[in-house]
Amino acid sequence: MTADHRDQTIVLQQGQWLYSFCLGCMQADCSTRVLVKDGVVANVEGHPGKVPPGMGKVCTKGVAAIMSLYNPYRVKTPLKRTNPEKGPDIDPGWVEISWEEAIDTVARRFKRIREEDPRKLGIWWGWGLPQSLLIATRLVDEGGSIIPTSIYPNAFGTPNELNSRCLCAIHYASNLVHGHHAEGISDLQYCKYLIAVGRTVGANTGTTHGTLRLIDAIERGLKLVVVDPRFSPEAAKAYRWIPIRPGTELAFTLALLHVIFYEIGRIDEWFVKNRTNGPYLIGADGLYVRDAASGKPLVWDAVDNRAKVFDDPSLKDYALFGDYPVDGATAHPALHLIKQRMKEYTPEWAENITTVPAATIREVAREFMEYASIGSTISIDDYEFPFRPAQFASSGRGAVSQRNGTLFDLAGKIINLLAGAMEVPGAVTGNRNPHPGPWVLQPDQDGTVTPFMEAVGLDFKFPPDHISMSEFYPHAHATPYIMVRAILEPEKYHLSYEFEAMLNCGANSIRSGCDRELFIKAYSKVPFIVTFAANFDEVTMMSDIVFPDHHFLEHKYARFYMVSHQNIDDSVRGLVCAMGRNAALEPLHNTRSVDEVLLEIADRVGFLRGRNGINEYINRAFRLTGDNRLELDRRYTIDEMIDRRVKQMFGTDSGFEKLLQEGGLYRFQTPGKEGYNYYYWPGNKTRHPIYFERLKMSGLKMRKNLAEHAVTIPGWKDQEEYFQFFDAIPHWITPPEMKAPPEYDMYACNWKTSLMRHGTGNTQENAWLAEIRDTDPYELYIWINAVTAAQKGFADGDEVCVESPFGKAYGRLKVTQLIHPEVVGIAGCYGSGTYMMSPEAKKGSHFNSLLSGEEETSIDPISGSITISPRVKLYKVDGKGKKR
Amino acid sequence: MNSNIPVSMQQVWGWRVIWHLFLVSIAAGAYICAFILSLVYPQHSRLFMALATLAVVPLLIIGIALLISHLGAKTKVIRAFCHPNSSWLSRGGIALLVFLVLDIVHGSLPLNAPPPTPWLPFLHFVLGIVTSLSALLVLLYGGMALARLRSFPCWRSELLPLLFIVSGLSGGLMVLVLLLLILGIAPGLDVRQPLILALQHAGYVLVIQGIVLGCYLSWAKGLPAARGYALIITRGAYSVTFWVGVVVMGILVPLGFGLYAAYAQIEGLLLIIFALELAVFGLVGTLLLRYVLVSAGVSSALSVEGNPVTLPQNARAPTSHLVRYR
Amino acid sequence: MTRYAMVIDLARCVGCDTCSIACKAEHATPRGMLWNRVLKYETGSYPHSRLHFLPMICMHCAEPECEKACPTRAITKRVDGIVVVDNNRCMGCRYCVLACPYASPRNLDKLGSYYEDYLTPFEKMGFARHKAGTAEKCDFCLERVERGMEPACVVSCVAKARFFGNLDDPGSEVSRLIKEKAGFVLNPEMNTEPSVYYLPSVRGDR
Repeated sequence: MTADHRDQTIVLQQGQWLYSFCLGCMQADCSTRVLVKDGVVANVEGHPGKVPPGMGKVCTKGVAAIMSLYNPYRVKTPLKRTNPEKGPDIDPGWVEISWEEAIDTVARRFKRIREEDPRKLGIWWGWGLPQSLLIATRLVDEGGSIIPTSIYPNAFGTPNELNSRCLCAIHYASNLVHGHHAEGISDLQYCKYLIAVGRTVGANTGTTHGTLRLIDAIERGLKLVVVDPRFSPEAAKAYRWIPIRPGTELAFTLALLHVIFYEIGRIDEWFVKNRTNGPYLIGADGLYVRDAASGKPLVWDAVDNRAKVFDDPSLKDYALFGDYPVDGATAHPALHLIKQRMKEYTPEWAENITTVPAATIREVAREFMEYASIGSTISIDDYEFPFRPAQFASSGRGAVSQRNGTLFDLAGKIINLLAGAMEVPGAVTGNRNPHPGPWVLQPDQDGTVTPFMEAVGLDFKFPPDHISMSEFYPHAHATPYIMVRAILEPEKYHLSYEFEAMLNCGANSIRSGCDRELFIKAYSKVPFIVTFAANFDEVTMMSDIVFPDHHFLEHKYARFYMVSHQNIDDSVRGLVCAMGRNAALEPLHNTRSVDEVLLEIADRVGFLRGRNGINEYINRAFRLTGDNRLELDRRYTIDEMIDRRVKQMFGTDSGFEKLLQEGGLYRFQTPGKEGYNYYYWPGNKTRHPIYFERLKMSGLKMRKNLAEHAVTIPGWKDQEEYFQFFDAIPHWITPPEMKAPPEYDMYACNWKTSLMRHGTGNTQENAWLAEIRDTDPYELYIWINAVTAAQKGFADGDEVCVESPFGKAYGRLKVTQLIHPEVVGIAGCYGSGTYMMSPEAKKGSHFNSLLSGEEETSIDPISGSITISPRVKLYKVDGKGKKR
Repeated sequence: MNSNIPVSMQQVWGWRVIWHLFLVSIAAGAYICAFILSLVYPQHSRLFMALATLAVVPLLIIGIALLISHLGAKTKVIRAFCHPNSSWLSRGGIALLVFLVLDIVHGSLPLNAPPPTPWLPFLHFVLGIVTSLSALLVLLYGGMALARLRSFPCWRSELLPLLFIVSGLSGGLMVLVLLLLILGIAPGLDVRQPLILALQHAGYVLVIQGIVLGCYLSWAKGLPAARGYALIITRGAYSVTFWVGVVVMGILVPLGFGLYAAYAQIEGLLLIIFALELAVFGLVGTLLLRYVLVSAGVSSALSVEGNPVTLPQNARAPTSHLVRYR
Repeated sequence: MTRYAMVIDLARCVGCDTCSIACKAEHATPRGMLWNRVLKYETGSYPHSRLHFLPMICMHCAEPECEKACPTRAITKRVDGIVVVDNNRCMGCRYCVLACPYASPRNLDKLGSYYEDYLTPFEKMGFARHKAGTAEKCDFCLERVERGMEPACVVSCVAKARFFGNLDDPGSEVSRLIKEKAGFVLNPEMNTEPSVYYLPSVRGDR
């Protein structure tokens, strides 16, 4: 940021520009400035100082925030419910109450719960979470801890940190293979060939920096291959668009592996031998063959013709293929087994499943391996890296949000590993908080990358602590759909306590989750629901106490840049950044900051001070040291806490005030070569798992634990259905969708758009976004392929019902050439709301009504993801939704 | 044409402008026809001119009032005369005002001043010529205002103003017919001869009108950018209105009535019925002609990298997007 | 001489509509009035179909049809090439609306608020800048350009697909882009000589 920018802004118009940052999506990392004239917010722009990562830009949702600020449908004062009957469209009999009464009611109840059994409280957060550092900030330390990870639930003592993350359970494979969170992201600084499968790599939702980096890369010459059932904005920029039957991306990926192994035959042998567990010898049990003395995994030295431990300094060359006798049994290098497993997955086999022509699969595989330019190097800051400018980008919502999703993501990682395209320039790289460093690819005792977050796995406990039964899904990102089932059928799910209260912050699990009717039923059963609400959405309408939340433009606050999403280049590599937000105006209504209310409740309940109180967790989560540490027994304001964190990050001469004045403070902690994790663990210093022994182990452990307690995984009639996923090599499992009754003759698919991304900042009620949405020829419609429409007798504009085995969505058809003939496409998360919301919210089709978290038909037992491409049927309806 | 992209018809100029064009055209047409007839048939000149100058005033005033009611900022109407050097609307505005003033002057000019004034007929003649010219400009402006729009290739033909002129003339004759019929109710006034004359000439003009209309539509059909427009009129949304209202009711029926009445020398009630049918049907047809041709206007597609891109239906109008707040 | 011009790179545009919203905020246009729009259209048949984006604003033609059509001289072309509507002169005849081949001007029939019985403070403030019944269109963010700043749609474009500058200066970024990347205008056969140029949606080898 330069001084002249600020000078220029002062003279622009009468009024004052105040720095802020956006909350239009969960990333919430675009630094902005807000023009205030006579107490009215008159404009929102990107921070002209081009603070990364937003680079001076802000998208549709950030500018349109003006209209959500002045939205007359906001929650304006604390409310309590008087009607005991609960439902999203049942009049709650709201009574306006004082803040004191609201906080007192909640604190008393929480205090009692905490004394009885803290597990009885569930804390549900959603993508509105950047409104609350107490709920949003995770307790991640260098070693990597696991869920629940955020401050507030930990301090309260409940394991029940809840959310709708089953819809973006995209992390397991990256947590395992790269040892970082959140996802494998694309290095666009150097990449030349990028296969994006069923996901966005930045531009589909028009996010500021993701879009800019991708478009710049394409301008530079990146060839983008988009595998997606619909023609996305990225497809419009792509070199190839490959439409695919949804949920079959795993088959496509396995076929690519087949072509690489059996038709191309050339892989990055150096990389596989030195940087993966590909040469590790695997026994008949599917596990590593270990050295009896050291317990280390063995490899086969192809020169000395004998087994050695993987880090034996005398190793001359690793064998990758063949049968080798170890201790009287035959063992195989892991890669040998992987190759063998891929034999049946020919492109012709995949064509049947995916509808992608076998010839296309072959071409893409060849192009990918050519662009990977195996053997080439690149020098950055005089440091020589392997250079692999090709990527298979799998870890994103869409193709991973399928029953086979995690296996698909893992298979994608194998493709990258075979080309040596991981954590090196041009390849899929990591983005672990706070920046790249030696802690990311750190090898464990087996020499492979230490797993992180969800790949670590939750310890088994019976009866389970978690209301969402995480104990049965140790690697799941979240299983909220099990929570509602457990509330409704506690015995079936071995629930050992009575779930009593729920605190909602920035989430609407009924609109943006699955199993809509089950959630409503379960929430009616929860005795006490407290919600921090911006509007009267479904969850708010089912609450007992409602705390009105500031609109974010009214909220003086700070945001600490987490990690880059979707893609990365030198503009954000190693970025350490904080953003400040000035309150643009006095709150319009009787609202308060979420964190201040949470602190007050914590203080009254008694988990603010002392050991394991909020203050201590703040010290841990904010990584505060020395003078910056909070005294455990003092009451701090959230502003003071933010001030400490800013000082911790940017030195004692900075602080919250400086942050508010500057809008953004940042530095590049690890520029250039230090921005690549390879740099910290080069050569054979660490190994990515290409053979996922840990996943197999998780399955074996689960079997053992279940047997010990003589239980089964609830909801799975056939336990083998569950366990087949826990295998060391990705393999094809026919998804239940492909076996659906013939009447369900189509697939449904969904995508986010620039007007509707995560629904944060109340985008669904926003009048400007609605205006653009309503003039858009595609946004609010149900897409159907023109040929299919002709065959079925549908026409443009027909009122239809899309029905899955789990629910229905209504809307108007858009006949188009831009979608796979078997697919019905619905954008965003429209078409849901309550009678107290703006009617805008209810326009369009509610895709999530089609989704379920039913165990045997819809979920990926590894990541806990639900299938977002259910089978559906389509029929015309009259104006009242009756079938015609 | 990409079948996915609907052809969008203009929604900018609606019924007010169409009625305006109709009323001022038939007013101007009536004046011009009356003037010509009065020159050709001097024995009826007093009658024709009296009727015409009388009819023009209310028709013009209603027509202008409708145009003003169409304006978004009505108080600024005076600025309409500011740009005659390039705007046909400005020219039209001036023509309307001049025509109205001249017509009133002409109408209030005494036919015989008590002391015989030999210059009076000459003055009538000169005033008639000048007023007719302003009337012609009024007739011309509607068509030219459309025909000069580059954005609407379907209107960009000299045949359109010609059609508007011819149909204005036929409409004008029908106004005269209607007025003669009303006048005929008065006892002792024989309007049969002038009525027959008006019917006869209306018939001739309708023949020309039919030919010009045919030429215009076949021209439009032959022009790729205007083909959609021609099809909307002849086969699409406006086809019934066009064939029934414009062609049969507006041209063929009055043409038949007019020529039959003129050549079969019918009289009495039959003549009155025939004349009434011609006038009423013909005027409805004249209105519908403008309605169809203006409403069906299809603007040019954008040409982007070789693709024709049709502007959305509502491209030229603000969208109506209203949230009902409790 | 200065002739302000914009270059919109169709190869970079992702159709996100940020420009449309930024324009709304900058000019506080009432309900239904969009000075900037992004048209979307498709070509070809599945699976060789394509989605295209076409951001549309006033083309600020050197030979503006709207200016010629306007009976009240409310529409004028400034010496810097920006075509503006003076809504104190406009009588709302909508002739410019018909005359523009690019459907840029539209008539603001009434000062519509977004909520039926409620005017937000933002709209209340913004309504002072609009006049019901008159024609409106993009003015290249005159109030910004006069202060040496770029139009709101250029500044906000997340894909950096828009460029603003002086067409009369052969060394300017816009002139260079038009020359180097085969910039084109819409409907050149109209002879309106737009000042908004587009760069092809597909470049070179793609």
